[in-house]
Amino acid sequence: MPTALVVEDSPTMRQLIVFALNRIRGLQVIEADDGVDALKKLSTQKLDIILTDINMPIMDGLKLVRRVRADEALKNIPVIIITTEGAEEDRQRALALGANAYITKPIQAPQVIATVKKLLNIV
Amino acid sequence: MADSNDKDLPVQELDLAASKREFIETFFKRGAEFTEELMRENERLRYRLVQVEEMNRVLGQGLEKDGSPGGSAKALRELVDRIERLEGERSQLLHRYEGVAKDSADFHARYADIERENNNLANLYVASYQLHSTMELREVTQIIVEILLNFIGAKTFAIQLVDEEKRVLRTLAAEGVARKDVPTPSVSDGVVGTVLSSGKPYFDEARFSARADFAHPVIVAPLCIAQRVVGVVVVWDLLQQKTGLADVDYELFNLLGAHAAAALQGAKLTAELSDRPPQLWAAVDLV
Repeated sequence: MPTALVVEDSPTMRQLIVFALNRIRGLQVIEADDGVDALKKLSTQKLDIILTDINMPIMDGLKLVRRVRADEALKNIPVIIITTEGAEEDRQRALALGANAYITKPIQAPQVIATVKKLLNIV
Repeated sequence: MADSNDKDLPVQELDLAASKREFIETFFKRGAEFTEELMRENERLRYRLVQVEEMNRVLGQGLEKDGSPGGSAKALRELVDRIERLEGERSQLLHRYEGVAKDSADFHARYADIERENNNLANLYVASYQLHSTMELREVTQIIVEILLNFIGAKTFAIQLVDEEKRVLRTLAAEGVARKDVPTPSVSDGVVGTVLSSGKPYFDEARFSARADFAHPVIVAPLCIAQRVVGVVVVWDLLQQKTGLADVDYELFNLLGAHAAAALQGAKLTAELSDRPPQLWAAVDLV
């Protein structure tokens, strides 16, 4: 059963993303407040996909992507960036760092669901 | 073969007779060969005729199921009838297929509507749930900010409350601009004054894609407690990727208008009672 990690400092936004992901049958969802919390969870359990915000305290989403891609054990986990930053250069920077997809807020649940399904090869 | 009388004939006559004989022999020989050839051809054609008649008989048997005279014609009519029936069925199936295709398109459209509605309800549910999930004033304020930023896509905005003593607006929180830089007009000024007096939200849809101009807000939404306007949300511009408001965004402004101020009020009262935690059971005596 695949597991998704939602990394978002805003509980409101986190709940909305979790709400959307819960509509994917068989997907388990766990949550983290920021990049450091996410790395802690990544070190203790097998996770299949990461959805992360960019602007977060302690460790932001881009640093998290860098750390994940530099880690031999984690580097193949797909990462989706979910952010308010809608400029093309922000998107390119995130993708260049190794993010697999880039979704801008306000999110549309169908878009989030379709992106996760595609990256996890769920029909 | 030479004739005995040939001995008495002169040489010239002898040669003529021999050539005549030779000619006649050759003529009959070729005639015999031609006759044999004709007989062979005749035999071949007779064999072919038998083959064709046999084929005809087999085909005839296939058509004459009941063996009645004129069965071939009957079978042919049946075949034509069957073709016409099949053509009719094909036409019906095509008609049904067109109906099913139309139904399918309708279902797809309905599915998309339901999906959108589901998405909208999820947004409203989460916003409402979060708004009433805490009695901490700072958290309630932060949740209102997050709803405006993450759910609606507002970029530069402020939450302002009416200072009824000074008759001005005071800024509770701001995003995209420092709180001290937010204009604090009097309660009767401009668009904000109109919204405060009418209780109806203002949307300048033509300027949704414009850059922030503090003299011209694009959205002013009232915050109410029991029909009384106690504050406003003022939005000066939206996120770059947000070019307009969807139905759910208007619903979110309605939700904020009806719930945000009450949530703030509840949190404020709780804060004022910080040294005396409110005892909910005491509400029984107040009803």
